Amino acid sequence: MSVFHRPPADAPLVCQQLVELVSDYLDGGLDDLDRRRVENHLAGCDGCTAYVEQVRELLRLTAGVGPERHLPDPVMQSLRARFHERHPPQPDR
Amino acid sequence: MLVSALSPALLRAARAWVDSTAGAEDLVQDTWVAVIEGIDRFQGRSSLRTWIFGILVNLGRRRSARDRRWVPFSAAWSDDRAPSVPADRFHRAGARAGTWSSPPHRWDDGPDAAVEAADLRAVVDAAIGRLPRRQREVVTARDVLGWPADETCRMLGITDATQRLLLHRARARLRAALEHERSPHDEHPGATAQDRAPKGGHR
Repeated sequence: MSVFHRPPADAPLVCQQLVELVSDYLDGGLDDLDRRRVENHLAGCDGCTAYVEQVRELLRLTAGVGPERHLPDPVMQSLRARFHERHPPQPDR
Repeated sequence: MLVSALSPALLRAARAWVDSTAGAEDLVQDTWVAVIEGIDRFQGRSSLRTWIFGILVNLGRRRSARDRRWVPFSAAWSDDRAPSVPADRFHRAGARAGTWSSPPHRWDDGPDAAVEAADLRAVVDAAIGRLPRRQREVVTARDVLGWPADETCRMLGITDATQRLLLHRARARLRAALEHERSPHDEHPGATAQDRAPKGGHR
């Protein structure tokens, strides 16, 4: 099912449709109608509630992926030298 | 200094196109060299930060294209139309058509949540590395670096609709990778008790 397929306005969502809307739902990208349909479905579906919570956990983990690193000191020194060579400070007049 | 301030984010972003720490350092160093050589041409139409990241994106894509002459079979297909969850996890017909036949379950924290989180971040990191390039770019920008949608679209030269679709597909694959790690019995409904032994050994 395409992520952009919109079920008929009067039809409740089934689970296989909801999983295609989760990303937009968590990003606040659904219109009011679809957001209410998702929330109505989640209120009565443990499987989909667990699925949404899994995606939330994924987003928490992804935000912390990759430790903060810096360029090695020799690289930093090389870049500084190159910058000063390319853009020497202007003499005071 | 600007190089010190921006390099951590540039190094994280660089992983969208290169697989190794050394490769990321090379790419970021090349980016800074391009900035130093080209700063006189910066016209201020975007922020300096945006301009620098734009250079990284261009160099990263060129490097990725040069290095990946052989494309793994799994990456050759764009996967942009694959369902987020395999169809066999849902009932196919009857009154329950479209509902879970093999539902996911909540993941409970183990006794050592901090260690577990570090292990799971490594799983997610590895899974990001296996994504198709376009999905990897978008999920790195949106979810790793936290860029808003409009900046991501500008930086990557894609429409909002494309950005949303790629992000949705990437997150679906990453969730599946996590499920494979945390609850493999959920993804294989016919698994035996032996098959259900959790991976990682940290439970």
